[in-house]
Amino acid sequence: MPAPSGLYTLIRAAVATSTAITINQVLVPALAAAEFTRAWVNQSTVTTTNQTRAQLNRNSTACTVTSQAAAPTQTGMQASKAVNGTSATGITASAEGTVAATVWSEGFNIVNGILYLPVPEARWLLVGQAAGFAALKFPSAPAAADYTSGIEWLEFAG
Amino acid sequence: MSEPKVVITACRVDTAEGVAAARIDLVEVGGGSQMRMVDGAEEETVHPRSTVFHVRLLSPDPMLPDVLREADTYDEACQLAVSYAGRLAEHAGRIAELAKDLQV
Repeated sequence: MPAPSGLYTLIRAAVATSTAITINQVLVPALAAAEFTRAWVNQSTVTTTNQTRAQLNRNSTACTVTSQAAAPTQTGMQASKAVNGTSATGITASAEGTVAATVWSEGFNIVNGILYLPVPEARWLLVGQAAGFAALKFPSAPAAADYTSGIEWLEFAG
Repeated sequence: MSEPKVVITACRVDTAEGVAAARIDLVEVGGGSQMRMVDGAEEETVHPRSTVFHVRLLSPDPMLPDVLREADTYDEACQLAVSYAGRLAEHAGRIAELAKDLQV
């Protein structure tokens, strides 16, 4: 197995959300692969108990999103190949892509938030392709709050 | 009976020296569904589907990210990639000249 070229994150920080949308989208391009190590959703404005659900999906078509660049987790790392764009890596979808498979789905209380932290053997590996999208989504409308969510991945790129 | 159709979904544009300068990929957008609350009941909305060509302008330095541009047609995408390949070769020539000039 080749060595990863780096660990990257895409964080959507404290954005008011009350609709069922994809909140983080990562495009894993051809000639690269990504192993997803972590995903999270929590909020910072509400103290009232409320249940909702988060999903990590593999999409076969792009969501239309607000472009946001992936951030390297260390200084001196090469730039992520998960390039940003309105139909590539970004946050807060205004139009949804087609879900090909759901990798993880879990209900949680918004007071606590949720963390997807699979053991190494269970990490999702997405081998790059023209339409290789990882999408973190609220499948149903959550209670209104300022949500912070993120995806973290090990990238394998030349 | 209609004829089969050849659909170009990916290609690469190189500089005249054979260095990869850009990648073009056909990407489908939308077509997914969203649950919306209408009068207290959940209703599914299906979003329209379309296609777009991703033109990935490959960065000459891995520390700098590639740049993604979008094009509606394959010809537009190729035009953009070829223009970038030309500029990339031009800059590579200048950098080589500069490096040579700096030698002591």
